[in-house]
Amino acid sequence: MNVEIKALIASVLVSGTVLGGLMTAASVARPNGPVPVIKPVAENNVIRDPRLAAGAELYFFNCAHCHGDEGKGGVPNPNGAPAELVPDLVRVAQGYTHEELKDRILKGQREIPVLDPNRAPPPLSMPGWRGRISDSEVEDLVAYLVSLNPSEEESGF
Amino acid sequence: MFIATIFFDAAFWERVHGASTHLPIALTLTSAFLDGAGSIVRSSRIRENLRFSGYFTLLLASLGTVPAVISGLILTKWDLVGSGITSLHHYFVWPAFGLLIAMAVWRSIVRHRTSRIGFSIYFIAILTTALLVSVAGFWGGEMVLKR
Repeated sequence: MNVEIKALIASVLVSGTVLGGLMTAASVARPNGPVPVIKPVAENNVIRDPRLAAGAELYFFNCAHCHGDEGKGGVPNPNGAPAELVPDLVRVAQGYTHEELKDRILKGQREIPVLDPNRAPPPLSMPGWRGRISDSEVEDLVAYLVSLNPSEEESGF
Repeated sequence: MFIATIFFDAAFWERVHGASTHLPIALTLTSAFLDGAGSIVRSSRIRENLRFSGYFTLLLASLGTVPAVISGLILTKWDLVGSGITSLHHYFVWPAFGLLIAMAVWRSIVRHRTSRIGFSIYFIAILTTALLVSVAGFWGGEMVLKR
């Protein structure tokens, strides 16, 4: 057999073993896997409302890597109160008014409450988005965040 | 591995990941450039030297991915995909990582016994890897900027 073909087989085997090993190690280290999505934002994941679609896009590129896809949270933030995780945003509309949400997004929160003052502060904090996104984009984002709130039927009431 | 997460906090691993990822990115691009240059020069001696340098930088790049991948996995708590632009980063990182290892193995076995077709396919693969690594690096930078 040609040495190049032999080398190709060997390279596929080694590469596959390394990637497979990583997947196995990850499944052992994270036995519960990713947190399931609580509520699909729209049927077949297609958002028809243009304002919500714009908000969802803004959310994906600017917020989701900390707050999780569709606001489900779960990104680790060691020593951050209350659960060492970046908070989920699924029910954020229940705790904030429209204006408060806008204010929160624009100002951010640099000081994250800690669980243990003797440990290192949480590495992640909420950046302020004033000057980084426009007023209409903040409105789109707030509309999207409000849309994540489960309906009464979904939340079991 | 798990002890490492106890003794060093996430901020430490974020710095390690940021520092260690640039070496394999730069070396992969350099390797592709050297192999490309080696393909167009006429002098066989220079071509051989350029291709050896391309091979050597590829080996260093694949070795350099080890601390980059380990620090990244510790940082994400072994989440191989993540969410938002972290997932975009990972969609490009894992194919690039797999290709880089595969090519380092292939080239270590074949060494100078490459056919024209074999090297052409290899060169397309290293260009693809360089592109994947660059895009992964772009999304990694976006993650840092947006925090």
